[in-house]
Amino acid sequence: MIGYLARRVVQAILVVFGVMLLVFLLEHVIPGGAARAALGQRASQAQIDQFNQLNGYDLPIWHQFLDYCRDLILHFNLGYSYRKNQGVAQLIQETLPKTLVLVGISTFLAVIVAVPLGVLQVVRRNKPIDYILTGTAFIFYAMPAFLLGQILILYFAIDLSWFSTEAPQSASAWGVLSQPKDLVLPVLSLAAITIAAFSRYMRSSMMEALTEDYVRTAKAKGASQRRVLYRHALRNALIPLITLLGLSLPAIVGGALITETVFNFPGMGLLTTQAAVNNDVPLLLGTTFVAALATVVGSLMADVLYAIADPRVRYA
Amino acid sequence: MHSEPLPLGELAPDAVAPEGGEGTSTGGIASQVVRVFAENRLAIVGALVIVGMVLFCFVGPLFYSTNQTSTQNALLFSTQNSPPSRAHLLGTDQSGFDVLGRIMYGGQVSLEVGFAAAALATIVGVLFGAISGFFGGWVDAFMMRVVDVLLSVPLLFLVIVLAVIFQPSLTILILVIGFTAWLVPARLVRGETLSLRVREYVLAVRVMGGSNIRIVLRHIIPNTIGTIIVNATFQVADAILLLAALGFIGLGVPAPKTDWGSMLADGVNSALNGYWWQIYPAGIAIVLVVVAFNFVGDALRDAFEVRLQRR
Amino acid sequence: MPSLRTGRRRGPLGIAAGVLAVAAIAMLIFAGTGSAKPNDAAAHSRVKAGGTVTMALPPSTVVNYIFPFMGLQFFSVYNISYMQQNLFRPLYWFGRGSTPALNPAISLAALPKYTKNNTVVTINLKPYKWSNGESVTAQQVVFWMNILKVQKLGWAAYSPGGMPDDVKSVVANSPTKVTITLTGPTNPGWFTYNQLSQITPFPMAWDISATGQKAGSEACGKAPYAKVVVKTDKKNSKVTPTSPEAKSCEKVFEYLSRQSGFDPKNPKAPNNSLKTYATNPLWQVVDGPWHLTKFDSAGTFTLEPNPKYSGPVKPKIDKVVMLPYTSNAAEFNALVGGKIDVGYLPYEDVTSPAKSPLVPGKNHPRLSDFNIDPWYGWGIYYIVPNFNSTGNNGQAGKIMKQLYFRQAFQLLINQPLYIEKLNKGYGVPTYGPVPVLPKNPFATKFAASNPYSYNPKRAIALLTAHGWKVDPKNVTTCADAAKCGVPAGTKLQFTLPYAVGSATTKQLMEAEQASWQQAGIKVTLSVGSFNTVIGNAVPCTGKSCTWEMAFWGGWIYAPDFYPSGELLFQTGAGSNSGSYSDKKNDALIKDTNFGDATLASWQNYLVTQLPVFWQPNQAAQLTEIRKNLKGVVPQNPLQSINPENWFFTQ
Repeated sequence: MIGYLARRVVQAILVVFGVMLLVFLLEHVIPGGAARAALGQRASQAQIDQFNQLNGYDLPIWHQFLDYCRDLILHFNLGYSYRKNQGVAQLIQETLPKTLVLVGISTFLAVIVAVPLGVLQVVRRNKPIDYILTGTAFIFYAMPAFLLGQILILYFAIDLSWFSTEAPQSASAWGVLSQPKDLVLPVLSLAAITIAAFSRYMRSSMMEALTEDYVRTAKAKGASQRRVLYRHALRNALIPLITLLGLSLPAIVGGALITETVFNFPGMGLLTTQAAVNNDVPLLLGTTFVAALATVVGSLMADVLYAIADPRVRYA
Repeated sequence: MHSEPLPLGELAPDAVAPEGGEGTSTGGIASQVVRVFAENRLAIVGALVIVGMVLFCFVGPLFYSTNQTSTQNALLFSTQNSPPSRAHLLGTDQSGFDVLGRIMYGGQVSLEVGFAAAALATIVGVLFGAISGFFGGWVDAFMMRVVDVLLSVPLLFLVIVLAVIFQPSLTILILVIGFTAWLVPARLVRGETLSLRVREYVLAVRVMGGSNIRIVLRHIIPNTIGTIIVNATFQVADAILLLAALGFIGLGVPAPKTDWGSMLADGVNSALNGYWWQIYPAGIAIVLVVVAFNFVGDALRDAFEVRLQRR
Repeated sequence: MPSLRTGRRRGPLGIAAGVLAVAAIAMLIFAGTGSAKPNDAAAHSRVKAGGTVTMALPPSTVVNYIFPFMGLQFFSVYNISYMQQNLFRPLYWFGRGSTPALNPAISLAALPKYTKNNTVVTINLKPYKWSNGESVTAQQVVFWMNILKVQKLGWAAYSPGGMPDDVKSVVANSPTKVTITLTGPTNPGWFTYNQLSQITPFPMAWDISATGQKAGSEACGKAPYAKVVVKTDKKNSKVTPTSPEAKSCEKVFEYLSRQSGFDPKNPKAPNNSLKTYATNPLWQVVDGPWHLTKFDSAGTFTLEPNPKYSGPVKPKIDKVVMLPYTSNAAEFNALVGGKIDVGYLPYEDVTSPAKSPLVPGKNHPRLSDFNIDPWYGWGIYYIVPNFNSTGNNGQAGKIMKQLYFRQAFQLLINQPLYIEKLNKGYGVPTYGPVPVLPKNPFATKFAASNPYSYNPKRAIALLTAHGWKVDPKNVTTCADAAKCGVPAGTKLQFTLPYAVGSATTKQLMEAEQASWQQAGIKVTLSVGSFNTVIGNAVPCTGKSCTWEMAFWGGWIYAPDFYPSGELLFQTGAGSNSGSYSDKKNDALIKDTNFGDATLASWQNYLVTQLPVFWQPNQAAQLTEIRKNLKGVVPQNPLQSINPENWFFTQ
């Protein structure tokens, strides 16, 4: 396992490098480049040239990429975003915690609701409650996020005035946490969809676990229904869910673009989108870097947990 | 991917390896599937809904013909945002297009993109995953890392870049959605393949001199067909939802075509105006199709698990 | 995927129950529209001192640069109007009532006087004071000009031929009198509106190059203009300071920029300046009615009154809080939710049409607490044709060059229809480079007469008369090369990328596409981000110049408030994206900049020549103002705000 882990860490570095290189190259496909995007339509060719020279965009592509990597690795300097007039590292430092709070809480909520929900659906299999829960899960899953968000705002924030129409506007993660009432609607909006997906999955994997040999053995040995459920089946049924969470890590870090737009919450989703739309090269590379890190970590977690769970798998 | 969280189809390598024997004949699979289907009422409902939707969207306009392509004429000759009436059974939208007709017209695009993207994603993903899982070792490591790389590239950025390189069109959208979606079946199939390739019968075929390609195509893939098909049905749902998300941002289907997602996005923007007919129909259409595909997918999964059941 | 092994027997009923539950909730939403707030009683006209006004910034807009000398990368109408000009007053204020005219009342100087055949400009300053006790002096105008001399390329409003290129000398004759001598005669209207409009006097407190230094520690602020000597390279693309005073100005500029967040020498240096905007003593030295008390990096900031403001109108409210919004929908939700006092109504939510472009219709039923006021920007919208395009088998540019084609194309654009249906009446047709609304002294009657009003028959006739075989079902082709001006068989088809915008932009493009099809002109639309569209649509020549048309909005006349064409339509101008070139046009423009012509002849000429395809001029924003907040209307067309005029009643 140690050897495997070491190999994976090396691979992780290669992956992150690969992603950055890919995005970097793709950025240069966009006409006008970073200069035109930053300076706008009034810029003369001379001003564009000056901008390119000052920011190193007139160097050959490989040179630019190496400079970027050197700044990143040696100085932890992710560059500067003109559009935001802030350093990319600072921007991410401020935006990421807020996003982790929002999406993290939603995912956490989704897990603690989905697991018992899935178990309930299994225990009350084919009874009305199962049908209702399954039906509701399907519908929430099928709802686009912008629809659910707007409906929640319309009903609970505007017509009933129970909550604010927007997520907490604070610039810091603590500030966001200190306005829990404003967090309710965006978290609900995100969680509803995730709960739907997770509980469906939980239900399936729970049912599958209940048919395993070890469960029959436990029953044969006289274990109670409850003991069978929680000590044997649930524990094993949770493993795939945990790997699913590992693979959700990029989404948690990547933010939730649509929910952020609807609830006026400038998080990582909007940051990445704005970087892409504004052709803001350093910012896009910075957010991609964070996403790549999350992907490799999540993927590694998922594979490791899977190997632990199922010894039949060989990674030889 | 369905907006923010992972789609239902995504999963780490399977916790239970399929027990399937060597290349079962197609006839056996088909008859099993049909039997399970016939027993499962929900699956029938789902299948009927899907077929009904397809007919509604593609054949419907022959019976209920409306202007769906000329915004100019819609603005000139009909009232915008009018509620359901005899002239317009589901009212009109922001440009004056008949909403019922637009559901049909937009449904053609949503279903086309859904099917095509799912098919593309499934084929590419299955091949990729099977090869990766079968060869294992550094081939597997390399291919899975490619998956990681592609997972990290921001989707919207990809849409923008592709729109720059190629003329933005329906084909581009299908490619983009399929491009992000193939990663999931790839992982699934790879997981199953990892288990399958150490089975005795695979080793037996090897000893008998069977080539790797033969093993992959004739033995591995058929035994993962259950997972593949189930995942494919979820892919269709996810593709329709992803198209909706792109429509919301404004980088969706190019004019004059539209899709359910764009209709819904435009409708939601005027949610506070009370134009419910611009929201419900498109929303219900999406929910119906997604739910129907889920029913079918569940039934198919049942069918293949029953077949594999050895107890 | 783990399986469900039991033969399930779910009834459809259960699912249906689930569906109904959710549907029931959704039903309540639309039934519950009767929760609109009760109608406000007629406001008493007693002024209520104090109060906080929250104002919504336009969607996806963030104010993020405070130093009022910035390059193009930080130049935005919002940085200037919503923040900088409220703190640091420009020498001359443009925008009087609802016209873009110069406003002498809140300018820092009296109207400029032009003498000696329009080669000498005299400016007399009014007695204004900075919040740190300094007076606003003539030398401070020279301070700004010194910085301009050294950093003209880093100044957003610079254009070759304008300041400082045409300035021979700037002298502070007395603490209140500045004399600018030019290299040659100028057009007073143009010079006042496009050149003097750029100047913002800087306090001596800014004449430093390190934090903590005493005011005036550097040499730049007090230096006479003549002593600031620079060397410009032949291509006019690099300016090098040579005299010590010039070098001092360079240092001051770099320091002030760094304090604002941008390091001109090393952009990658770590930058956390946004958080310091409200606390940095540099930016607390203000001569405007307001100063900054809060600023966070998310873009929310607060203005509070400057008690030492010397201007005629003092603030009456306690606070102005600016809030950024991610989208129109988010802002509208907040507006209806009661969080905003001055916001805007997205076009897709307009429920009643306007009575006329300037007279609003009934407001949205959920906004009974608000009044609506259309805000017309000082700008124009147009589709840009590329006259050098080699698209469409090399013929696209040649087709564009034919006036009859441009006329036919414009004749198929049904501006009144789009204004009526898409903008609900909040707009006015445009046919020339000078906007007709807001009312201004520059637009001619001819321009307002709409010479190319929608007339598809005339468009088709024009094409047919010039040898085209018009085919509305498919695509029009050239039948007679001699008459067309292009080879026979050439198709009238174009690609038109447009920038992602609001829902009405999409509808506009689709409607026009269908309209052009009436004459068989096949236009393929594609939507892209703003940057990819403008990145592609640059002035070009040669084989690689393939873009045919593009639409991203248009042009806002700011800070070049004089709507003359030297930046847009002159041959070779930097923003002449389509490479429009016409000798008569060039001569007419020159006359408006350096001669004594008004804008009339040039304007009328361009109206007939169609250098671009005009689009309807819609209201830039439908502002929603709380009923008990007065003084916001009339809104300044240059999109600047004067919160010192605002007050609550009752």
